[in-house]
Amino acid sequence: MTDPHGAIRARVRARLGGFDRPLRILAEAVCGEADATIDWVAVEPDGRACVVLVAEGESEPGLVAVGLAQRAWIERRLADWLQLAPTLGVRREVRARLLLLAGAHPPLTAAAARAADADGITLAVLPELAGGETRPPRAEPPREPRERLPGPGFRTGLGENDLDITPEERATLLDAPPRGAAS
Amino acid sequence: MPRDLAEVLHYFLPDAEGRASVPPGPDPASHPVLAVPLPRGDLVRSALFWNLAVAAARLAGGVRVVTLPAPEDPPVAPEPGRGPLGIEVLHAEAAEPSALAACARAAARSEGLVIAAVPPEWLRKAADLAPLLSWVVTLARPEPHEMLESYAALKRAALQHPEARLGACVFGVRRVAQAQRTFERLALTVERHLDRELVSYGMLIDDVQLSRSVVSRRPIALSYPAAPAARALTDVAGMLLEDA
Repeated sequence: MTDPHGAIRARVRARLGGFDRPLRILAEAVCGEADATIDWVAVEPDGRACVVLVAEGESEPGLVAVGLAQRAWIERRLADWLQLAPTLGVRREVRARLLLLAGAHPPLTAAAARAADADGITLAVLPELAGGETRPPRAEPPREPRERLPGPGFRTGLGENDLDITPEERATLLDAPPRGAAS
Repeated sequence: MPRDLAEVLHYFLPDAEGRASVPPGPDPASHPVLAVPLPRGDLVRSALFWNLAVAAARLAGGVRVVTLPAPEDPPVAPEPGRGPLGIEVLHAEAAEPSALAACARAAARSEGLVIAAVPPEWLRKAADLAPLLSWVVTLARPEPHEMLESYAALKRAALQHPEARLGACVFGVRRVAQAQRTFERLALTVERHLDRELVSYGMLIDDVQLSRSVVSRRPIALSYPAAPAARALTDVAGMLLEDA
């Protein structure tokens, strides 16, 4: 059966080494979650695994969901792969990056990627996927939202002093051994 | 009454055989209001909140959701009014505690469950909200700062409404044991320092189906009814309806 993405991959494959963090391809056209194809599984110079999906033209927002599923599928198997090939150079302790390549990424795709995993998803535009001229690839994390979402602190935007939690309550909540045995 | 988290172990098991049947719906005459502290801009909690409302509506119907006039997460929140998802969305007339409480009171005059999204920061000072806080369930995560915030919301609700029923539903965990520890710590703190009982509403699963639900703007219960996330939502919604 002809792989419809085969020709696209052939056009893009050589570009993967031209990113700021050049990618070394580990596997191509991997049969991943739900038998859907993962275009590439690669590794960055620092050992971070990278799951790459390609879309011709504008990416659909659903590509983010597909990519998340495929990244999870790959992460579940990395340990096995490393047993089979310990020299892959992949660091399991670092969350795999999801790299989505397309001719353009519309705002909804960017918003979905940002909401799902702003640090772990990279959207890259390749002009040849849009039918344009060939230029060096440009990869960037999803754009920041207009209003920045809360970071690792309190989601309400309150400080700890606003929470009215006494030191005793804090100690019980965070330090006291849990009561009872697991049931 | 306290609920054992072991009851929800099946969420993480392969498609269960002989799963417990869905609890019955609420007494239509009770007109309960459930307040859920929902930080503005919290996409995951918003997605769980709306998916939970849809799951409850699919079980019992007649669910009304009361929120602020301008939802912060349009990719998640449905439009106001009676929608195709089985829930009626009501917006408060203004982004003020008194307006939110008035909207919830009006909604509670009709039969069925009313679920109100309450900004947690309002719990600290808004006596206007007190009538809304007879039943408060927090969506709790296991990270220490999240647990502090969840406890703070429960504490404020307890101070505003001495008779409030307090509950917690855990999410953002990878293992059942982690959910259990999270709930146990919250329950212990509530019991020890607020002299109250914390009711467990099991746990929810925020996995790829939730992301897909956000992206597709379709509830998990409709898009992936057999997924563990959908089953968890249905079971938690059943617990809420049972206690309503």
